[in-house]
Amino acid sequence: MVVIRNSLVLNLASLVFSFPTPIILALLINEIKVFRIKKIFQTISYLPYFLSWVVLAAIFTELLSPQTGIVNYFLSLFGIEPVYFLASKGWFRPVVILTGIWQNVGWSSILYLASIASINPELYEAAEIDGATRFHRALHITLPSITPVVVFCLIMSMGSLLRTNFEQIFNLQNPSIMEVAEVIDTYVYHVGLVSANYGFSTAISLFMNLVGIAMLFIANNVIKKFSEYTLW
Amino acid sequence: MKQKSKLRKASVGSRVFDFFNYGFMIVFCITILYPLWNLVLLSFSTATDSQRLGIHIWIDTWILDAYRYVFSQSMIINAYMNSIFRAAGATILMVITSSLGAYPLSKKE
Repeated sequence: MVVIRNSLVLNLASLVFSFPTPIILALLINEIKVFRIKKIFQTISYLPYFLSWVVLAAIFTELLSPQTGIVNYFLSLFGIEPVYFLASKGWFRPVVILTGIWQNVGWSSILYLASIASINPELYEAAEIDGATRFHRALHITLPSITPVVVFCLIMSMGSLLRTNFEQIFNLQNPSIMEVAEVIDTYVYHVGLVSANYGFSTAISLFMNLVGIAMLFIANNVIKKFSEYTLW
Repeated sequence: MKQKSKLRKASVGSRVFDFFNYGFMIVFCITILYPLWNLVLLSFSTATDSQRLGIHIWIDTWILDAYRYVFSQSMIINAYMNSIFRAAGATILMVITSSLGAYPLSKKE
């Protein structure tokens, strides 16, 4: 069905792009030596997480609008025609993924920063004596030390493969892009709750839950073959 | 005995990386702060100013009309109290039940 395809595509694409981003941001924030600046950047980066999507949809509708939006203003400076981002089928998925990353990257990076902070600094000093550059240190000490946390987060996000952020998609939808913008959650809302078709919506949520549990088991068993940092 | 601290000169690559790191962080913070600042400016600007094309860094006329309209709606107090009550109650209940539920799960046997 179109709805399941939309859900899966959005989720997989967003997983591919928004899973490594908090890790990279955590590594970059970790490289800042001045403590106060590091804390300031960290605080600013997780500010958008606390905004509700009703507010954020209003912000983005205004920012991405073809006449008065700032993105189209920058594009016009380079001579590109203004693009109506939120009403074009091709641009809807990138907009959803990018705004999702914008909102979540700071919050998700807190977890990785906390686990980076618990790395023994003697490892870094030993590596520096052995002649490792900063990049080597990040690649060979920091990343392997946060592997348990990364694997845990990966398994958890595998379990929610069919679940998208209802608030985000519902608030960014409009009738001209329903073909790509209708995901399982919003479809259940429109058919099940608005038309009072309760049995239908219950059946779909049960289906989603079962698929999620199955994905969790599969992901856990697959990752068990590669490393020992699995859930059970 | 006072130890002489030898300040090792950072390599060129390290300083270039620092430069780009700070630059990227500043751009990132601008992309986070600008939409919020834009929202604040829009809430205080007149109707014609809000349709102006381009980047809004500062506005000339500060108007409270939008706020007057919002606070004249009678449902706003209701909405606020609902939100606060839900958030506070849910947090307290969640913390209590999660900590009670985590205790038996943390036992080894």
